[in-house]
Amino acid sequence: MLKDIDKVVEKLKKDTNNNGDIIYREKYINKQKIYVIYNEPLCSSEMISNFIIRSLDFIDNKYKRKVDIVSVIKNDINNFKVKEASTYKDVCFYLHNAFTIILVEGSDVALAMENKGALARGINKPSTENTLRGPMDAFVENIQINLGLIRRRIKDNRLWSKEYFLGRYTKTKINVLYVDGVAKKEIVEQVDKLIKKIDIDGVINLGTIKNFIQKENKSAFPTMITTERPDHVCQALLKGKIAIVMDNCPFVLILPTVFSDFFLSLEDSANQSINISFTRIVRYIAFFITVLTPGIYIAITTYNQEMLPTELLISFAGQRSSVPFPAFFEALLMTLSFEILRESDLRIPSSSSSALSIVGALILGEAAVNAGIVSPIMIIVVSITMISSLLFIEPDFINGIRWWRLFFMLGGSFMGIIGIVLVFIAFMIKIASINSFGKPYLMPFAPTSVEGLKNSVIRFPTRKLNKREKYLSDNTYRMGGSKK
Amino acid sequence: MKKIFILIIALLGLSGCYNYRELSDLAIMTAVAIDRVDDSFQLTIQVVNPKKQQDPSNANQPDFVVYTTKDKSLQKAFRKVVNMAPKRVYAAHLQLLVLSEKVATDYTDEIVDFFIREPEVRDEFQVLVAKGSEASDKLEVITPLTTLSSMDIFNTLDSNKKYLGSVSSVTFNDFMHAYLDPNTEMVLPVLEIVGDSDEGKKQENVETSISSANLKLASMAIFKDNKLVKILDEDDSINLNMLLGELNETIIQYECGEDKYAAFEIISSDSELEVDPEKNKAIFTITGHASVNEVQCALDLRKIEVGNKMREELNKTIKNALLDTINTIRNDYNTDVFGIKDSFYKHYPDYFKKIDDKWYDEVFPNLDIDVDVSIRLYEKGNILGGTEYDKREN
Repeated sequence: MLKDIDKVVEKLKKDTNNNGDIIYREKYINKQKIYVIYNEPLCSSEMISNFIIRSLDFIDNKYKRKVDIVSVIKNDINNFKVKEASTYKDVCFYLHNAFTIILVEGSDVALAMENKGALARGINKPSTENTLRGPMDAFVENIQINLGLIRRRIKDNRLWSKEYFLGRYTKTKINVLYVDGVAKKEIVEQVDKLIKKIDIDGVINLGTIKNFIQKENKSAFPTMITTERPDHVCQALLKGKIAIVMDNCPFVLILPTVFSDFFLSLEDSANQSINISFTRIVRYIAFFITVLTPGIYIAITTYNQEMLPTELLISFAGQRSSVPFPAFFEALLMTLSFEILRESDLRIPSSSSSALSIVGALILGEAAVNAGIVSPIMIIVVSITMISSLLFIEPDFINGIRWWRLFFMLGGSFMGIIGIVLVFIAFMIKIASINSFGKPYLMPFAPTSVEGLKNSVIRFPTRKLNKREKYLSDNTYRMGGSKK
Repeated sequence: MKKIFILIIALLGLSGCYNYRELSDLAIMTAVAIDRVDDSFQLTIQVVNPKKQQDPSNANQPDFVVYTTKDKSLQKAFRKVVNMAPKRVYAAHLQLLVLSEKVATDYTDEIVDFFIREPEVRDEFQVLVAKGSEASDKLEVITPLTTLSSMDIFNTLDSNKKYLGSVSSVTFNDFMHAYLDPNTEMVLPVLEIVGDSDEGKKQENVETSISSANLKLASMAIFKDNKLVKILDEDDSINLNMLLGELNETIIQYECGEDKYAAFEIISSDSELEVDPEKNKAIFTITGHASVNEVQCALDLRKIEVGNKMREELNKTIKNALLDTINTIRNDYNTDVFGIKDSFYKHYPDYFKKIDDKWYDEVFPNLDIDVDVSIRLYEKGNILGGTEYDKREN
């Protein structure tokens, strides 16, 4: 089919509606007609002129006898990545992936050479995951650079990668990375199956893959983490997790993820374990603060006033005395206005963010209290709630917390502390029932795993963390502490 | 899972917000005083004014409001507060119950009955007897240093109990148990006003450095058959508390020379009661530590014999004082507030059955009560020789 190259070029022109981005260059080698075709915006024209065209001229001069042009070009061309395309579909695929196509008259195969143009930005600092003591590089939109950042850290043959191209139109490259012999086969196969099932128009964002893969998780809490830090990915890979890297997206998915993973930070391994244990406890406390505080406040001030010390009750009563709304409505109003503030803060350009913060702080803080719409204690409750929720960086996790906070508020406003207890039971049932790629979400607490507990609420010294967690890996022996 | 979820949501929704009450709709009651006036109970309820606590612009508002109602039954009188207060009275934070002498003498049955039945109050509030005319007066005094007079009383009681021991704290729970137990007699701390009680109700009371009226807790009231019989004086109260083992710290002094005194701080003390039915005897054993805090006489404490003598003297003083108190209470009021009967009941039940009926008629008045005091001197101070001796050596 590819033998009649004029027909191929004609078909291509017709299919692309004579797209001016695609450049066709007719050339002759030994009086044999060839076409050099490339997609201009994707490729580096300079490289094509310097290496491919020049090589072709060189070949033309060197071989005066009749030769098998395809093998000669393949052999002599100044380009490293040369592929053969045998069908028209392949030709199109390579063309749109920044390859330069060489069509040779009378040959069944076309040659494709990669000449990617520099369409990516450089490696920058991570903007969503800060670190004080740690590597400062972050993923970019180019998958090659991203894979490079990971492979630069794990220099081993056993870092295996599976390649997929997803999206009927976008044909986005997806790489699934795992360390062979460490990651559990069953999870790799499960992910493989799920990715292969995906058949959609386009994969624009990592979220698309995420939503398809975590199909079985109907809960508000996510079963995977997105990260923009290569060191985070490498650490997860070595634990036995799987990373999904996607082209055109500076984030990488890590799975399977359980509840306690959202309380870990990469920074942890950089510090003294005894200090980190304290931080971890603070994070767990902050989780319960951010989920429970508004609910408990409502429950105590509207049902169970006897639970407060008298002095505090008098103070609360004084602050509430000028507020006309019920406590539940007041709490709802404040949490809602915070959510609006947070959402708008994400959306607006940074040039107007100072205006937003002034208005937000003034309205939410001073004026609302002075106007008697909310009580000062409510401001404190909402502030500590929201500040605690900002401890977690995974946006989906924060959003999950938000739902449950609302449920706790409802429980508290209907039945007081009993309502809080009831909702808490429902909460525990719900998160215990989440299935993270076949693994229980509450690992390592329930079912209890000793190895996992060593690095959960408190962190044991690194030399004691010498085994991988069983739920992630069959090969539980880890590098251990020091050499014996 | 879905079913459980629906059930929980239904449970929340169908509860109808039972027992819902907004904080701003509650009148927080911190103290109640009960008087007997014209064959009815007169309740005086102290309700906090939370607005005052919140806003400095309400500075001229009172810290608390006092409502007075009167009716035959306590419950009706309580409910009548609604006639005057714009909010519902909330009793869970009740801290003090003040009984007038008359109520404590004749109406303890009604009080205990009402407060046991009342579900909202906790049983941890303090019960006090008001000395003098009325119980209501005491709650109306505006006290300096604390915003609420109930808090003033509560804190004074607490510090007195800790550092002087002339009162002991009696919660309603203790009160109730002593009331229901036929073998023990109740004791209650006594609240009185020092100064002019009418002046004390005015805001000026806290605007001068010398308050015209102050609340004072300094003594204990003793009961017999759940009726108030006597309000003890301060020293007897300390002695009584020491016998009952309620004492934390106190100051004991004795005359060591002519118009010269030695003062000791009892740091800890414990009391144990042993009864012997055969010898018809009850012995209190007081043990504890004391430190020498003040010696006005010239005594050289570096010498062991002087220290020993001082200890003996101290123990003798305490012993005499305790025996004095026991005999006064027994001879004048014939009431067994010391818990001797209860001790017989617990340790010699057979003997107890024999004496139960004739306890106050025959047994108690003729009982041989003894006290054995062995307080050890624990700290003798930094100047062992006292000012007199140290001076001479330098």
